[in-house]
Amino acid sequence: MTRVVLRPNRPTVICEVFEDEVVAINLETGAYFGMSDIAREVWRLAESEMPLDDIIAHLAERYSKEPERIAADLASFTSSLLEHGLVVEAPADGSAPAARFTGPAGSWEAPKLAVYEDMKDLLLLDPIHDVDETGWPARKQDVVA
Amino acid sequence: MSVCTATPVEFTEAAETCFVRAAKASGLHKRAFILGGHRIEMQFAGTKLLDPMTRALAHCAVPVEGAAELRVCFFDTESTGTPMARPAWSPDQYTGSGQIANFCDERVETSYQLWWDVFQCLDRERKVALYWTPSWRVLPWWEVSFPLRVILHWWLRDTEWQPVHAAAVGSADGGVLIAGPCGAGKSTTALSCLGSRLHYAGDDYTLARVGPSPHVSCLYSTAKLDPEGLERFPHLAASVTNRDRLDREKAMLFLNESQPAALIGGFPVRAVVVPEVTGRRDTALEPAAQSLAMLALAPTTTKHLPAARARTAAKLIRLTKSAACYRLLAGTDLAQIPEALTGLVERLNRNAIHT
Repeated sequence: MTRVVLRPNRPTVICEVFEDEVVAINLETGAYFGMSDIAREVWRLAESEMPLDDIIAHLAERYSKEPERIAADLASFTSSLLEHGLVVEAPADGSAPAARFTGPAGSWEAPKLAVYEDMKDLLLLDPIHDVDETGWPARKQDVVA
Repeated sequence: MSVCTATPVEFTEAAETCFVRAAKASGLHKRAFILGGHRIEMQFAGTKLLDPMTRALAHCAVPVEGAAELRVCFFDTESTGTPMARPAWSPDQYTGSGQIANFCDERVETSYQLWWDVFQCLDRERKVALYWTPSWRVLPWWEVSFPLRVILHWWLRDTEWQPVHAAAVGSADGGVLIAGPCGAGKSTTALSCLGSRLHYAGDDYTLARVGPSPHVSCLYSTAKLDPEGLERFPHLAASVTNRDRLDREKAMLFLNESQPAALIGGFPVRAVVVPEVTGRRDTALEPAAQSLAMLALAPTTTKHLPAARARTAAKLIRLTKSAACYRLLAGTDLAQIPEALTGLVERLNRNAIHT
């Protein structure tokens, strides 16, 4: 079976690793995302091109949990990453040395993606197609404050 | 409806020709300002847009002489009787963010704000920008509070400067940016510092220079308060300039007119403070991760300002990584807010001087 990696969807996505949180930005949608704690670890492992099944095995060992439990929790998180266009699936080519976490681990909690979709209202705006005889958008009667 | 064909550069030239016609018809008026160390000349055809577009910048005014780094032309069709050039794009190119899709390039930026009928463009090579609206009467009240916001954002794209959605208070030695979405408490926090040892550099948009030693410049002298906010500062009520329109506008103050001594031109940024209204009486400050500052500053700044989202985000990352971050747990006893912030700023300034 082909092993897959979750690659950050660059250049559409830019991300920055802060001390305790990864902030990612989807430049197409304008949405911002925060990943802290275990989500931050998963992102960093994915960024290092560690194949998904290796991430599951590494986290299962690190947090002393059943791989099935880790896999189930990761499935929801990774589908959120894919749904928001933050990562793309690619076949693992094993060219990049994958990072591993060795420091103290807390207790396992399913990773979460915090979504800041402040742009959504603008992006879903239906453009106004009515123009007047000058070619400019037809004037509205009321100015929206 | 036919669409005239012109490149972005050709369109900006045609638009400027319209401005020249408008100025011939209604008179040319010039004003100059130093904004973040940059000399900008604003030129107006007629007078209808002159006061609305310059009042918030009056504290940065300088005599009109010498070469400006950027010239910005303003006109409206109704008061000058001069039509704007016909759009060289189709209606489906208008976008919610204001940017005109596929009608901008490395040299030219264009936007049309559908909600308030304002067209803006910038030609980087010719160092000229243009602001046009069909009628000065439809200009929304908030445009008066942050003139040039979009044009400065475009023009400063390749520099270390960036208009940021943040309030700022501090002293000449240093101060803080106050970040958060609309309604987070930026204005309340900044205005609570009036009369304290911290001076005011803005409550909504300020001009930040990113880099290892970040700096903020006071761009606008305005303060805006919703009705609840105004109730918290009854002593400011007499300075509100739009008292007859408070049913549909936020209360607007021009502090360069009512409290000029409270303003400061700028200062080094020591920290980003993210307010959180707690409803409790007392105020407290607690250290927070720099990612909080990023998530407080960046989504709203990139939402408000069209284009160059990646470059803007990159600048904001640099800014937030070179400043400390604190959460301000803002209480209802407003006097405690300047006390807490003054203590923080003075401590950070001492640390910065000793390192």
